[in-house]
Amino acid sequence: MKIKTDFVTNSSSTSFLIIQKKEEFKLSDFLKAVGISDKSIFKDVFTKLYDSFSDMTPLDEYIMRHGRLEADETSEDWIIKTFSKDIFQKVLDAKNSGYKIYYGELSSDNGWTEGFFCTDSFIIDTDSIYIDATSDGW
Amino acid sequence: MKYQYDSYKSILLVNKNLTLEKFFNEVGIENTSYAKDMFYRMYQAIFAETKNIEELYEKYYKQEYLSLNEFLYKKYCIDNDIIEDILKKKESNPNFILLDSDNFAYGDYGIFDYAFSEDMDNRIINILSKEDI
Repeated sequence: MKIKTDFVTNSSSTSFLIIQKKEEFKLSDFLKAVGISDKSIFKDVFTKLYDSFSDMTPLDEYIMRHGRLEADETSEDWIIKTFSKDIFQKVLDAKNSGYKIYYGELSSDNGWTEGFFCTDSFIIDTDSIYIDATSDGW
Repeated sequence: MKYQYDSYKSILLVNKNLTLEKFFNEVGIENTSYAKDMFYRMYQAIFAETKNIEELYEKYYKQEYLSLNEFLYKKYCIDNDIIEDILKKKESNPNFILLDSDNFAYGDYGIFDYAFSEDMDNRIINILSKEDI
């Protein structure tokens, strides 16, 4: 049992999935993927998002370590439960294509920018990367 | 500039020529992707259901209040010093207008809050009231 003895804050984290279709995941590729100029005055906003994404765990490893699978639950069940059936199909396709698949989290406790992205629901899908942050959007 | 005169209500000083396309240009949008969608929603959230304060005054309140200054003082309950500052800035450029804005009008208060958060507000306000657009 866990007892909270101080203020309970209304903070949260949301999960996202990244399918990396290229060997490297560089900032320049990311800026191109989100469609913002390298010279934009808001480059730092998307650089923060990129930095948040760089703290990721391979999906299979995350499920094994933190997935808290029930006795009869499989990785497939977990992905469908956490994301969706469509995402599960994307994961299968990505595995067949040899792409890297990661799981990560955004927190509303890490400042305005990450907090905004944490609560926003979005998909970024390009030739180099697929990011699904639609799970748990507020 | 942005002046919050009530809970979730603000007055924005905006260049009237700031179209959505020009906003994208100022932001540095390059193609149709997440950033374009995000700043599209931000633009809509900022301008949703805004009312041009001077037009309101001219159309509906001119007989009731002798000047725009008095209208802002009595209707919006803004201090004279602040009114002076707002009107001075407005008069510095013929393209500047004052908009009465409701933070919740767009229905997604998260994007409005973020637009005027400490991470973003200076840059957004500078774009809204840029001199030469």
